[in-house]
Amino acid sequence: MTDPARLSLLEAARLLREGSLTADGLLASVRERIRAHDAALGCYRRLDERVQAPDGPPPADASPLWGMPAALKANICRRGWVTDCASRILDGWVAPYDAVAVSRLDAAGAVLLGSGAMDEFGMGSSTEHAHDLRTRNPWAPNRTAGGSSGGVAAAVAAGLAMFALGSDTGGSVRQPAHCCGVVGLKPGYGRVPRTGLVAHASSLDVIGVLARTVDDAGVVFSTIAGRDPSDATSVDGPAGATAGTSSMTVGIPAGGWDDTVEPDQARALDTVADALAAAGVTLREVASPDTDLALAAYAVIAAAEASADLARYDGTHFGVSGSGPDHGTAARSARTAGFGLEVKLRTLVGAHVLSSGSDLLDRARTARLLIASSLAEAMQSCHALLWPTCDGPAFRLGERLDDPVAMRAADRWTVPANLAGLPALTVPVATCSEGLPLSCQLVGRRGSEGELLELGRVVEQAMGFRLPGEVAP
Amino acid sequence: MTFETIIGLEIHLRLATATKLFCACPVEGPGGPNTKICPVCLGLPGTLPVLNGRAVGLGLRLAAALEATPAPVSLFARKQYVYPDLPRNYQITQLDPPLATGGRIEGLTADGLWAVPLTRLHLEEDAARLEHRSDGPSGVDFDRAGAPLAEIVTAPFPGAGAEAERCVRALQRLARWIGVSAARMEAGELRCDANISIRPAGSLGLGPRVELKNMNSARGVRLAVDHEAARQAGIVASGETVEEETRTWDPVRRRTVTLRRKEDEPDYRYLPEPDLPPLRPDPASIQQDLPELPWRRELRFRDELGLDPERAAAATAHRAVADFLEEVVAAGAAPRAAANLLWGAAAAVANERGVDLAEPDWSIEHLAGLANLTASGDLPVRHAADLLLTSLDEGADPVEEAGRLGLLVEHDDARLEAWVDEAVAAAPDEAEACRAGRTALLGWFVGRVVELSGGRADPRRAAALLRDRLAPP
Repeated sequence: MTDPARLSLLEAARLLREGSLTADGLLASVRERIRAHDAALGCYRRLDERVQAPDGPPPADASPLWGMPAALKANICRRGWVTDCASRILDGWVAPYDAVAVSRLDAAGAVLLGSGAMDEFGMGSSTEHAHDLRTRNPWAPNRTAGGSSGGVAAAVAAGLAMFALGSDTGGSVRQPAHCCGVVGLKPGYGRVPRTGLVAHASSLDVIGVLARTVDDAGVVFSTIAGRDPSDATSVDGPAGATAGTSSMTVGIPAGGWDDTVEPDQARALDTVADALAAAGVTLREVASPDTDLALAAYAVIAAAEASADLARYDGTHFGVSGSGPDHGTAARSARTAGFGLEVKLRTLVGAHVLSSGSDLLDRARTARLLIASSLAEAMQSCHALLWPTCDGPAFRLGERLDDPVAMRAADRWTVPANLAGLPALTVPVATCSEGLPLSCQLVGRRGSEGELLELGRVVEQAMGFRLPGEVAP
Repeated sequence: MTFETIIGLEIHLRLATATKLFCACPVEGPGGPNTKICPVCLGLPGTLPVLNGRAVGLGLRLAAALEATPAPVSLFARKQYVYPDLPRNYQITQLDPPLATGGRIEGLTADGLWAVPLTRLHLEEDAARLEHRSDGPSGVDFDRAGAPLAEIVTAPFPGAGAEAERCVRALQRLARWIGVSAARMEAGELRCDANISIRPAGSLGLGPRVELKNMNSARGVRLAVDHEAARQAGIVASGETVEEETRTWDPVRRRTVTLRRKEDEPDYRYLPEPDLPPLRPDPASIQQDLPELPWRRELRFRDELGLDPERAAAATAHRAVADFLEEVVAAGAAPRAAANLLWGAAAAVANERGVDLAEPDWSIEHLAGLANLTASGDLPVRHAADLLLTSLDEGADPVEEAGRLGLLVEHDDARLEAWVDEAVAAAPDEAEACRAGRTALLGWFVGRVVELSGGRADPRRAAALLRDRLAPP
C-alpha cells in the first residue's frame, strides 16, 4: 500500500470519499514523514502543532482540497502564525490576518501545516539566503532545492505536504519545482489576489502552486484564483472550457535550444516537443526570447520595487527594533542587523536605480515593454511557448553563493513571464544522468491557465516521469 | 532698488470623505490616538492600498470649480523618505500625470477681479501625527495616516502677504462652498506652504527660492510672506545672495528660521505605484453640477442686490448664509435691509444661542417683514432683536407685534406736535435760551420729546418741528 502522503492530491481525495482513508490518517502519514525527513531536508521553518484534521468523511459537496495537508511559504500571511519571510527583521512577527488565498484554502477545508523555508524576502534562487535555515534537495543531499520557494517545493516533492503555495517574482515557484521534480504553476499576474503576500517586487509578485501532478495544481489554482476587492491589481479570468489540445499551437525557439541549455535538458525538451506533436499539437518555430535583456530588466525593476517594498522595515511599529538616539539611527541599526547580505545588496541597488538623475528604471521599463510585446507577438500564433525552466538540474549547495551572476542566470528562462505578467507552468519530465529531475516550461497567454494545464497533462502522461522512491539520505 | 516678491503656494486640503484614501478606516470620530487604524494604513506586511472613489470624486469636483483640466489618465507614485510619521516610509501621492492641471483661484477686488493661476491638483495620503513631548520620546498617532488630501499648487505670482492671504481665504471659501473640505486651518484641514523669492522690480527671471512652512492661519501666511520678503530684500541690498533653503515660520517671534538646507533635501526616489492601476475617471464623475461659485455670487450681490463690497463679501463667506439672504430677499425684503438685519440683530441672536447665523429655525417671512419695517424707519432698530426672539420662540409675526406693543415710530404730526408742545412748555428757560441762539439745546429737546413719547417719536421729524417752534423770533 503506497504511503498516502506520496499519493497525488486527487488520488488521496478519492480515497477519502470512498472511506478507505481518513483525513486523520492522511495527516498522520504526512506528519510521520515530516518527523522522519525534515531535520535533514530543512523544509519547514515552523509547524503548527495545534492543527487537526477534520472529522469524518468529506461532505458530499466537498472540495478535493478537503482534509489535504498543505504548506505555505513563509511570506504568505496566516493569522496567528509567525510569518517572518526568513528574515531576522521580522523575527517573531505574528500575522494578524490571513492572506486571501489562505482563507480560500481554509474555506475549502485544507489543513495548513506550517510555513516553508525560503530565501529571505524571496531574494535568491537556492533557499540558501536565510540566516537560519537552508533547504536541500530531497533527491541529492549536496544539491539545492532551488529558490526562493525551496522549502515548500521540497516538502511537496518528498511527501511532507500534499500541495503548497509559494510565490514567484522571477521564477521562485517554477525553478524550485524544476529542481525538486514537482509541478509548479505561476498564474498570470493578478489572477490570484496578492493580499497577504509580503511584497518583494509588487509588479512582478504572484502567489503560485506547487503540487505533484498537473491536475492537482489545477484544482488548487481554481480554489485560490479570482478577483478580490482588497487587491486593486487582481482580475478575474475567462470563464468557459478551453479548446482541446489537438487544436492548439505551441511555439518552440527557432534554431533549437540555446547554447546555455545542457545536453540532458535539451534532449528532454526535444522529447517533450515530439510528445506534443504526437498528441496532435501543432508545433511552430518562433523567435527565441532575449533572456540576457530579460535578466537585466528584471534585476533593475525588481531591485527598484524591492527597495520601496522593503522600506517599511525599520523596527518602528512592527518587527524587530533597532536602537539609537533618533529615529534615523534606530532605523538604520534595525536594518543593518535585520537584513541579510543579499537583501542589503538588492535594496541598495534599488535605491541607486531610483535616485534622481538615474535613468536606469526608465530604460529597464522600456526593455520590459519590448520583452512583453515580443512575447505577445509570438502568442498571436501560439497558445503557448515551450521553453526550459532552467538550463540544467539543481546546482550544488554553495556553488553559486559567491557568483551572483551565475545565481541570477538560474532565472533566465523564468523572468520573462514575470516581466510580461503571463501564466507559466513547469512540469517535471525526465531524470538527468546524475539522477536529478529535469522539467519543461510552458508559457501561455493572459488568462490561459486552463490551456496550459491541458498541455501540461499531455506532457505529463507522455513523459511518464516518476519521483525517486525515497528521499536520499 | 525696489524689489518684487514672487510667491508660489502649495496648499493641502483635507477632503471631506468618511474614510481614508486607501482603506476603510474612518477619518473622524471619538476615541483616543491610534483608534482609527488598520493593517493597511499601518503598512503592515502583505497589505495593499485600495483607492477611495469618493475622494476622487471630491478631487474632481474641486478641479472643476477651479476650472482645472482633469487628466484622462493619472498615476499614483511612491514618494520615499524615512520619518516616523510615514508608516511605509513612503507616501502614496501622484507625480505625473496628476489628477488635474491648470485652473485658477479667483476673487473680487474693490473694483474688479483677481486671479492666481494654478499648475496642478493631485491626490495624496496624509502622514501620521507626531506629538513631541519635552520629556521622553515622541508619540505617533496613526489616526491621521492615510487621510485623503488634495494638493493644489499655484504658478508663481507677484504680490505681497496680502495677495497670498486672499488666495488662501478664497480657496478656503470655495472648498467649503462646494462641500469638498471643511478647510479649517486651525484643525489642519487646510495647510499652506509658500515658496518666496524676490527680484529687482521690472526684471524677468526668478531669484533664489526659499520654502516657508508652519504658517497655521491665513493671517500667518500674510505675516510670514511679508517678513520673508523683507528678510530677502535686506540680504540682497547688502550685496549678499539669498540661500535656497526651507525655513519655518515662528508665529511667536514673528520670524522665519532655517529648517533644512538645500543640500539636505531628501532624494524622494519616486517609483510609479505598482499596487494601484492608472486612474481613469469615468466621464460622468468629471461632469459636475456645481453651484454658482462664491465670487460670482459675491459680484451679483454687489451688482444686483446693491450690497456694498464689505457686506457682499461677508454675505458670501458661507453658502448657507448667502442662500439664507437670498431667501429673505425672495420673500420681499429689500436687499440692503435684509443684509443689515441678518448681520445685525439676527447675528446677535444666533451668537447668543451659540449657533451659526443660518441655524435657528427662522421664519423667512417674518425676517423679510421685519427687515422692511426697520428699513422704512417705521421701527427703531433697537427693537429688532426682541421681535426676532418672539418670532423664534413663539412664532409671533414681528410686524404685528410691533404694532401691538406700540413700538412703531410715530409719524403723525398732530401727535408729534402735542409732545413738542409738552416738552417746550415744561422747559421754558431752555426754550428761551434756544430761541436766543443756543441751538445745541435742540438736541436736548429732541431727547425730551422722544422720552415723552415713550420712544416712539420719529427723532428726525421731531427735530424739524422743534426747529420751527424754537426758531428765533
